[in-house]
Amino acid sequence: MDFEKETIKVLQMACEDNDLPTFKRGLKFLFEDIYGYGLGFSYVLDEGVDVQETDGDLKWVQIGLSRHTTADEIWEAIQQRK
Amino acid sequence: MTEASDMLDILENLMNENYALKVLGWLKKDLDIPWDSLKKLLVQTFSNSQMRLRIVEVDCDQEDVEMWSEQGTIIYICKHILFSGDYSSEDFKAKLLHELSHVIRQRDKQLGDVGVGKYFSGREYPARAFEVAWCLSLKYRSLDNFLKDYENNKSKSLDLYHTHQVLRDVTLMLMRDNSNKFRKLCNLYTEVLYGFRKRNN
Repeated sequence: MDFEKETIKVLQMACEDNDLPTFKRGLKFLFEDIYGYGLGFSYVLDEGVDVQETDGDLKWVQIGLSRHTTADEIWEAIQQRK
Repeated sequence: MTEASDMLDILENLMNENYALKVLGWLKKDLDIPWDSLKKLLVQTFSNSQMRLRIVEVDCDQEDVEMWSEQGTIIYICKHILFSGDYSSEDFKAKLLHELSHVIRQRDKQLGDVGVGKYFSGREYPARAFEVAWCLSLKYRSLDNFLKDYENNKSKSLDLYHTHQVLRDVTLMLMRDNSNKFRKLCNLYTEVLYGFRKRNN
């Protein structure tokens, strides 16, 4: 079983369904359980999305978003950082 | 529930099952031996040409600190847990297995063994769930059954509760905080470990 591939499928499905809660849960699973990173969300923006990565003892990805940000927008921002 | 969320549940369960099976892999070593021999066995088992495990016994004046691991190479064990009669041997093994699960997880990452490393999360709760499940599996198949019996003052659960510090801590925490994710994982591990104990006794 390729957990990474299967989780990415789930994330894409959640994007299509515009299902933000499942998308966030799936993203936490991908980063924390599969990649071993820490992942946090903070509602600090008026619009859009901002992905920050820090490299300490534990790699950490912090996603800043607004109340209107969609799953699609977050996924796109993450893909662009690869 | 959406299809995506159902699929995510399945993936989480599968990953945790794999973790439990991995843990059983190293439980095949006999842990029921005197500490000096066990220490030698662990060092031998967890040392290879790339990494060596050191187990260091330390003097520690903080009662709530028992053991911890660093970098997948060292486990520190406070002498007060090792030599006092306050901990049952099952509690001690539970704590040790908790640290060994950190050691293994850390190493899988450092050695870049992706196939195995993916099964270990970067967080504390799977190790804690395993520690609790180890003690529970002496008498129970699941954490839920234990908690139900505990709430009903059933002697089987109370005996276990009073014998194991590990269970006293977690029961109090779960009374304050429901922690569904922890419960689910702990149920799974307890079932697996219960079967393991049955086959080996």
